[in-house]
Amino acid sequence: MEATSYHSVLVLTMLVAPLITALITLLLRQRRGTLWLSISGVAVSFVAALLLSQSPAAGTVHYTWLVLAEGRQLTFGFSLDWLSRIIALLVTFVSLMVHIYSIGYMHDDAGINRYFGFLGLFTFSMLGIVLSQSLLMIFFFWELVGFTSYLLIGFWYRKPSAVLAAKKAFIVNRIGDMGFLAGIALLWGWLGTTNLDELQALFAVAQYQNGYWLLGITELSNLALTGTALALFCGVIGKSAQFPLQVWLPDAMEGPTPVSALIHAATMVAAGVFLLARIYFLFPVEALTVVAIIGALTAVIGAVAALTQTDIKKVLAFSTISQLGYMVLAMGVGAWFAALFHLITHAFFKAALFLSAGSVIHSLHRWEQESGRHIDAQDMRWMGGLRKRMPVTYYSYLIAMLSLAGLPFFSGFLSKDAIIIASWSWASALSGSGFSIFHLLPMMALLTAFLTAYYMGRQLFLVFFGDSRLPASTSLPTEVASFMKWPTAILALLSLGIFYSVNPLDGKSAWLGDLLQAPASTISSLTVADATQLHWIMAATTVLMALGGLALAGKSRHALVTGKEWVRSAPARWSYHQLYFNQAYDRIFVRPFGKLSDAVSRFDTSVVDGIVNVLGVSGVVIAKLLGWFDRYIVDGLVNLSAWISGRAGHVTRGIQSGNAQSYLLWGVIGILLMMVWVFQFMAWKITF
Amino acid sequence: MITSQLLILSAFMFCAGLFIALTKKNAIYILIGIELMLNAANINFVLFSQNDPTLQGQMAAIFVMVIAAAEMAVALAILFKIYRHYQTADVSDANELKG
Repeated sequence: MEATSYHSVLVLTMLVAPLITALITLLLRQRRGTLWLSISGVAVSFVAALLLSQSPAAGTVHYTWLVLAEGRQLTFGFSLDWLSRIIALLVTFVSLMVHIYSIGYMHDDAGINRYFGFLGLFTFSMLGIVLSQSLLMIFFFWELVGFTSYLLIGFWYRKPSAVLAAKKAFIVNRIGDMGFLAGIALLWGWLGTTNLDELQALFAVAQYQNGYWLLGITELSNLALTGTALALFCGVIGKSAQFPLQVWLPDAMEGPTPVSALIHAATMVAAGVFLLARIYFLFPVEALTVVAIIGALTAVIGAVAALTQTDIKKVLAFSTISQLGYMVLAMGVGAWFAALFHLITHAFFKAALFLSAGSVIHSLHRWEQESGRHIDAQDMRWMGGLRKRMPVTYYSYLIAMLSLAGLPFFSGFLSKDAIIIASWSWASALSGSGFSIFHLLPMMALLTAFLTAYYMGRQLFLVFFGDSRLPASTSLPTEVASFMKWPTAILALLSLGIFYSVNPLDGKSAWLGDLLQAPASTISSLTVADATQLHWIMAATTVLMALGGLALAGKSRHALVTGKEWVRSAPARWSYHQLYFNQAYDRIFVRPFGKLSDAVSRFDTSVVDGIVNVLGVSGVVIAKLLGWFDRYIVDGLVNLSAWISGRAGHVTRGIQSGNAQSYLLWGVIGILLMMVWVFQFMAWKITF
Repeated sequence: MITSQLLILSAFMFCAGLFIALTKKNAIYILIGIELMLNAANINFVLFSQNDPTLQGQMAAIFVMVIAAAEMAVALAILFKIYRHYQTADVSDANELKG
């Protein structure tokens, strides 16, 4: 279905507005005007997204980009289905909120221009992923997102830890992207297209025969398809911080907090899940099982690591990893809509949480300046009792946190509940009757729900309840400016369940579900039994888990506050050090690679440089020899001939005495000689 | 009989002129020597034209005299210039052509 020119204009406006304003912001040096310029760029983008979501017709906008051999085409296309439109709306909205929030947060930063420029570039790249209609285009924007996130994480580039974190995020993402690129290449090689519409048309009618899938004129084995799908999934693992590449996300908290809200809550990390939704139809059942297992593992790992963190942002980072695990798990168990639903709800409440955390950090920084005391403004052990000092931030945080914990009437409950129900139904369908190993995945999801409620409760009590643990001072932390307060509050309000579903206890009735339909595919069709009879039991269990977690956090809050929680027990250390993933990777990959690099470097300096040096020295020797030959032989010959001419000239110049009489004498002698010659040799007689 | 005596005279005159032209330092002498050689040649022209009814030899002798006069005028002018330039008539001083 081709879209109208109205759509083309809207899409291009939405995509290009943040780019243009970002470039202008980066090029200009002035501070204040450009700030509003970049905000207006995102605002224009948001309005375009809003208009687009209101227009009824879906379709695609196509531009042929390259025509290759055999009639293969690379098209630069934008897809305008509900998935793109809703996620684009989400991205532009959260980006707008974060932009407004950043006015306050980055107010005193000297690099505010650079900050807004990067933020705009990021928004552009992210919209590119959302709107692109071919995998290759998605890959381009995917890399742009990686690059701009690198810029933003390393925004405070004078801080060595920020630089390291940016590098780590970039490199770890590259590892996943290798797989993604390989997957795209495989698709291109086998099916000759990376266009998602064309691919989906092929997969929608794929026929299965004797272990082979018949796709148009191509036959692909199930194994090949699984491999391709998993290669593409590598990109998701990298970008969405899934096990085993989740290590970059906690470090990425070195960036400014609004950046974390935008990139590590609502958009970039969600890009992986978005991509998974886009290419869902490519995944055979085996690949989906792998996806589900990875997702469940990630959910638990993230939640466990979040339990004991002391850094306010680190808790949220691990929570994000955990929630992304939920989404991937949902994709893996075939709950396509539930995954996207959770993506959307998570984007709002996690962005609100990050912005609240940013407000707390900002407020504590201001307190530091006022009181002259020095503390770690991100360490929750210094906080406490902020509920009364920062009421708006507190309520925003509370709503978002309850949503994340999965309590009824909040958006997080709807989506999380849907995921857990779907994973349980999936396990039941796979194991027939009774329990099987597949039930581990929903169990893990339930455990994660419990842990999530606990660590969020723990954070709530540490930050906002109890008495202030700040060093005694005349000044107290105060509420942040309205630029920061209200975007947080708006995002938090959007975490209320009422905006998503009329029935606050049933995620299935969400209105988004009517719009977002999984792409048709015979390959990834999972037959999940209808789980209505399960629904209430599962929902009740989820709520119980969440309440249990919160209750445990509340019960142990005195222990938390007095610092007894950070006892050096082995499990606590295990959790605090993120299950030692970083150390393990360091030992398994980084250090051996460093040693390999050292060895290669030594080989380079000794052998390669040696050969080069020998070549160089022999070149010099040969040049010296040639120079000697040239100087003494070639030049010698030339000089000799010149010398001979000189001597000859010297001899003959004696004749040229300059005396007219001597010339005359020579003339007479000449004539006499001629006469002798004439008479003697010509035998020519003259007779008198 | 007179022919051979005249030939001897002209030969003597030529040799004397040549000797003067080659040996004398003063440019005036050199010009006199040249004049002697020209006239020795003239004697020969006239002498040999005795047996020639067309009198071409005598014609040539007259030509030589005319040319000698012209040459002498030019030579004297050059000589005058040389004298003005070098403050001497000694030809061995005018050796700027020396290589």
